[in-house]
Amino acid sequence: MKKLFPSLMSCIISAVVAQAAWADETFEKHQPAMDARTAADEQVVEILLAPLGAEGQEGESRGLIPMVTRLVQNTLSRVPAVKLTPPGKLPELDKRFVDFSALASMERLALIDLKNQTGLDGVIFVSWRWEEASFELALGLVDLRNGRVHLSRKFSEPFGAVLLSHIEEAIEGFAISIRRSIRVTIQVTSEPEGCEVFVNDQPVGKTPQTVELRTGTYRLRVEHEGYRPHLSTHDLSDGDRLELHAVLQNPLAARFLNAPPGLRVDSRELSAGYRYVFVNSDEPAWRHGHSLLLDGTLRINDWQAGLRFGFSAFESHQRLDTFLGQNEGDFVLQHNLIQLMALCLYPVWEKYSFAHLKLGAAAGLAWSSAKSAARSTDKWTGAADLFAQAEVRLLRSGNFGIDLLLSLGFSYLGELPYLEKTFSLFGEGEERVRNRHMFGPTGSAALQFKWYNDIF
Amino acid sequence: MPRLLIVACASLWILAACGAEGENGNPDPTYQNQLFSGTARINAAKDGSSYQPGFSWIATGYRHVVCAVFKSPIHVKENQITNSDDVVWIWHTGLGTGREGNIRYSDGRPHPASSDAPAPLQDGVYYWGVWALNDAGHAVASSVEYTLNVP
Repeated sequence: MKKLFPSLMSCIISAVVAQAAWADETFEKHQPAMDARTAADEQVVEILLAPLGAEGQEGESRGLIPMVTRLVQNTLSRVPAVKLTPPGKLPELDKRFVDFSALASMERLALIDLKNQTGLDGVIFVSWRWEEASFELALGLVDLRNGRVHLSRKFSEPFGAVLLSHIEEAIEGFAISIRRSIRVTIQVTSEPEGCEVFVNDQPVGKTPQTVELRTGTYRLRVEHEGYRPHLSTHDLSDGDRLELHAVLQNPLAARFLNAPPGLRVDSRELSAGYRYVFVNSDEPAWRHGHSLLLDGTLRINDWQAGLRFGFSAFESHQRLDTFLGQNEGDFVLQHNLIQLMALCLYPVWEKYSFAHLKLGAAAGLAWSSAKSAARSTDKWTGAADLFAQAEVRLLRSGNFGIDLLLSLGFSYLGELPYLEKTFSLFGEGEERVRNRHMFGPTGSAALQFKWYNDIF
Repeated sequence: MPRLLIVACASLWILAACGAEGENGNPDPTYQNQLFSGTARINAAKDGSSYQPGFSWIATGYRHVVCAVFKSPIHVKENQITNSDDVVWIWHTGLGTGREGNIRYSDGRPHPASSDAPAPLQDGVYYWGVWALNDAGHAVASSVEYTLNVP
């Protein structure tokens, strides 16, 4: 039975080692290119695997030593930036330590001194013994950099794959913790995702991205086409972990939102309302102009700039002299008036964000048309508004607000085309195209919806 | 033989039918276009003497209604009568005479406008029609062009 047992263990260990080797290959294949590119920056952790010793069945133990050694070697080889130093490389150490398990009871300063003398970062020592069918294994993990016994565990359980996987986990965890203690971790996420990450101008991949580097100062650049790049510099020490979430803004937003206060957009405003213009025109007969107004503006420092859209649809009546007498006829025209203007407002008085008095001006283009039952005509002209505007806050909730706007001023609606009709006894009379400048005093009322920036 | 007889009978019937239309002479008025396209139809008739005829139609109710006699066929272009110089007699609702839908010759005036009573028509062929305009001056109803023979 005892002869069969080591053979069985050999099979198990071989299977575990083979599986570890396969995992190692797979790991290397799937490792991002970033690791290769940053290899030059890596600082290798040197760990000594102490000569394995055993008590009890010496003959059988000798057969297990190479197997356990391979297990440790394969486990450590899976951890990047960790180098396993064989005991034969440091013969003087063998003389000093007959029993490496004595490291676990050494003073902290003595362990640090050992690091200074040998350059080793850590030592792993393993010993086991047989007790009939049971198997007792002692695992010592000594961190020489800070002089403390990182891990000292005893496994007393039946020999098998479960035990070996426990040993594997313990060794791997030890190696990673030593490596991390002398390295820094940078984790970069971004909005939008998929941004290119550069460390010291070297590409390391796309977000989300995690890189491990040695202690130092790093310039990080996160960029995406169509967005303003995020730039930052960080001074990182051993064990630091930097979690960077870069929010990239598109160039237009970045231009205003990240601009110095003089150019920063403080709020965005959208207003919709009604405008009245006292036109008082005889030909075409159009006394009162009613129109819909839509304004969209950005507040940049004190100034407010944006676009104004105006729409008006109305009828005009022209009295005609017919064979029945004067003004017996009634010629009706359907008009449409559309304005698109650049708008600018400047506050002359403000009470916080509760009330404002502003002066405004708008200038742009107007398209107007006239249509009778027989024909139609249209025309592009200029248009302009000049007004004073009072704003009173109705509602404010967080960064959103609603204001009431009242304005008085003067409007030039553009040159309105119309048709001049002649009443004829013998059928359809002549319709001649005429134009007339339309302007007059104006007043408007509107509701304004405001979205303030976070700076408020 | 019977087939030949059938063909002969059919040919005779077609010839007889054509001959009947040819004897009538006047085209069916339903195929004649109104003076102004896209307007409601006014069916009118003349009565009285050929030299001083009266005219009647079903009243339209429009305020601007005109009836005119031309010495030549009425020419219309883009809903406008272009040969208004050929008008020899005219009546319209602005004169304040007669009643729309039923007027006498004496209710009208010679054209160009004159306050004189209209002279009886000379011998010859005349053309007449009735039309109505809305307040905006658009033609809204019209008759076809009628012929008036003055012996």
